[in-house]
Amino acid sequence: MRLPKTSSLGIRLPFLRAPALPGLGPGPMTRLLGVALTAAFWALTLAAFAIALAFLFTIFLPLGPLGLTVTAGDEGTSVPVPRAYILFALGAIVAYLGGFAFILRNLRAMVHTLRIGDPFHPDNVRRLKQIGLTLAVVTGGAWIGQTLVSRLVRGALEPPSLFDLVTPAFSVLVVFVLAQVFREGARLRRESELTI
Amino acid sequence: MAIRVQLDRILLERRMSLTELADRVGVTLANLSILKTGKARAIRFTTLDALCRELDCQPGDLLVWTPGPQDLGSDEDPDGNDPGSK
Repeated sequence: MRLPKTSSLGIRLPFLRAPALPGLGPGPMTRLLGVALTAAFWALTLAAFAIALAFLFTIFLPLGPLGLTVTAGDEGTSVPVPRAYILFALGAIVAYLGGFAFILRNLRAMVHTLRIGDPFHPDNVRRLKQIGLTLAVVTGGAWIGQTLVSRLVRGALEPPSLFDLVTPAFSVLVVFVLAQVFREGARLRRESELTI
Repeated sequence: MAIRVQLDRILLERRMSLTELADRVGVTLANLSILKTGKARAIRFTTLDALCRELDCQPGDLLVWTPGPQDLGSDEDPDGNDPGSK
């Protein structure tokens, strides 16, 4: 619907002027992100490495089934956990931490391109796709793991519901959409480079 | 790309090197080479203006349209690849 044109009253309200754009480009938030990502990456990497060592030790050490006690409320359910399950659990934790460390590694690389003023580098498209895939695998794997554990200690732990996958699924979708946006950005960057 | 940049011919006629033209126009030699070899995707009016001024020619002397079968309605594919490079 077109609104009728009105004549200007000739009044200018200076405080309604469009504000000057703040300094564009990498700023303190980018640096903070870089530091936070680096700290998180190394923390996860070291944790994954430590658990991987524990996994290797468990392979070679003669361990019998561990009797783990899972407590729900006042009662506790004692569940014998065979060595294979322990190995599987350790492996799953290494994969979980390693997956997030991989995501953080890609995010660090992307923040680096942001700091050098080249965020639409073509490599960032690949990195975002890798982040999306890794997120899907890690969160899906964690959900499956929780389902298996809840079946192992049936009655003591609630199995996860499908609704628990909604937020991770949306996150994965957002990442893949961003990958397409960055793909278009990389194309525009290329066009800009070849504009003399 | 159906648009051809006839920089070679005009430089020969004016007896000017690409390096000298780059210095006069204020464009890097690398970018001028991209223009000369037909890899450029676009040219700014300011650059075209500077080229015409230094070469004492018209834009139509520099830019020529020669359509070929692959150039009619073509565009790079969504992955940013130039079909001409395949």
